[in-house]
Amino acid sequence: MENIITGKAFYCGDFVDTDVMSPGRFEPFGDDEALARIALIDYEANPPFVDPATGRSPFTVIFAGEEFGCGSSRETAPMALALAGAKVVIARSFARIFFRNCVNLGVILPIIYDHPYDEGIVGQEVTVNVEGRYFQVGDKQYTFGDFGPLWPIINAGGLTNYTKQRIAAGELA
Amino acid sequence: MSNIPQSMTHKIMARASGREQVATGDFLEADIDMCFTHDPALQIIRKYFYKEFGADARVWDPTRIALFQDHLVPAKDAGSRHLAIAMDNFAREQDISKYYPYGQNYGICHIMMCERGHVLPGQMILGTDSHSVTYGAFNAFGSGVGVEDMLNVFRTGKLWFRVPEVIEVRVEGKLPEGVMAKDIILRLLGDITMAGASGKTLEFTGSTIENLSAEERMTLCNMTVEGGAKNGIMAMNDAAREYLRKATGRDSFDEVTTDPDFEYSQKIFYQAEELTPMVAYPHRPDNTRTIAQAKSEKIKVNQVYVGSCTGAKMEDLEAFTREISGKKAAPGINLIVVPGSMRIYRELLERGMMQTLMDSGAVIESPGCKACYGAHGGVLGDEEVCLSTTNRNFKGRMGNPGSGVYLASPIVAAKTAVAGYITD
Repeated sequence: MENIITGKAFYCGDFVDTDVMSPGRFEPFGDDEALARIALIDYEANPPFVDPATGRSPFTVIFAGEEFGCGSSRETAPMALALAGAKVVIARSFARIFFRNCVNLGVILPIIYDHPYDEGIVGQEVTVNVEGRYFQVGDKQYTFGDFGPLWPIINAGGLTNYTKQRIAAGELA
Repeated sequence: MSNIPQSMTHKIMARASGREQVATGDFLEADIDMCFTHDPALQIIRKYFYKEFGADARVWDPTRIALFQDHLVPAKDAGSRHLAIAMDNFAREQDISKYYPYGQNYGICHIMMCERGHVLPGQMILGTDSHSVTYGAFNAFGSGVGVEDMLNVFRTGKLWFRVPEVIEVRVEGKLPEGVMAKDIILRLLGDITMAGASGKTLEFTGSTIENLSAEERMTLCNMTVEGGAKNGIMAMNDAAREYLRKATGRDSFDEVTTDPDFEYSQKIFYQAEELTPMVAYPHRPDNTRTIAQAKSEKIKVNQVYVGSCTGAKMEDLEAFTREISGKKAAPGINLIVVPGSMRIYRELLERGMMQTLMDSGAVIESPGCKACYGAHGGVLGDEEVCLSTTNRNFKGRMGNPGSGVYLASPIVAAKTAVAGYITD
């Protein structure tokens, strides 16, 4: 994971489920290109998360409401967001499997924060300092909590890398 | 260590992580007793299993892994077929004998896990499917995880968890005629919302739960994930023991109970006699109304769907068949019945229920997840409405974001099919 992440903000409301992030009607999902293209396709927003012209998202940081990623356990949901270009989600709360997937896949940094933003944030420049544990919008800076025992997993780039490190170190058979 | 009162979930996590006891909020690494994956997830797990852990990598214990084909069978296209082929290969490469491919012994993973005896009280059970919370019906810790979790479980047999807070949902008394477990869980979801149990345990207690049948207990635990729960769980009862004796051939089980002095983070109470059939409106399972309210709106439906891990167990189909017996679906309604497993399908035949269902105008499809998650079969047109015994009605869940899905019990499904509008 990069330490400094900068890019434009997108906004999702409360209870944005994994069905709208990567709908079942597209299963089996095909290659990365195809998965990126359908990221958040059933989430109504103007502009949409993915630019249909490029098949990629101009947004790097998603601000979200409650229970972001609720519903199905499909990992294609965080993968689709990441493949489209998102690197960080700052949500008031996450659904637990989606949160696990973000940590374990190592592709999206899930930050739990009761932020004050709504649709008005869309398009604004955001900077996230991972090790400094803060994000910045304009001149406003917000400090987020540490990841506790999950940090070694995030720092390793995901659970599989972490497992391989532990196997190599003789901690796991 | 001082004595910390434990919930049944705490006790399962303590045992699985080799501790005497655990405290809420503790992070721990648990040994997994049983796990499974299904066709949409296995191909990617298999690919990364060999890529990350080596071409000759072996799973930690092939007897603790089950594989199911349920989401995309029979194949709707070549890509779906390739998922099944990948599973054939993985089962063979890793000597996994608890393998249930499309054929005479397949079905929806959660129903199969219980029906085939792969769930035992006190166990840690994981699946790459959010409805793995179902196994709490048999006093196990059941929870859904992602493919990255499962990839690591396959290799190591271990996974990290945080010990959850526990919400008690106590239901006392006798359910009125026509009220099912589906109505209890929809009522609960309406009350607590989809964030109400986020990352927590929903533990069910009370005389209503003690008297509930095994499959109705499964319905209740199955939809706890719609409240954001990590797991749903309940103490064993006679019906659950009898079900497991048949499924596993065992006589006794290592049951766990919650300590009397355990402190729940929240307590919710329902008097069974006061519950009524419930309907979840589009596009959220917590967007609930009573049947009286729904009925007054005369909501016309184009399709009635009886299926999924939530609403196509034997008892669901018994309730549906009993209710529709001798009646006919209203003209123009697509009435689709998708039994949860081949064993259930066969039982429908043997008991003559197939005939009753067909006489009512139903089409009985082969088992599988089908329209519940919108990949194939039973997709709705724009503006069309479906009353479904499934678990989610998110926008586009049944294949078309322009359609609307209402969730209800099998009894409400039968009455709605006959009337042509949502009723009881």
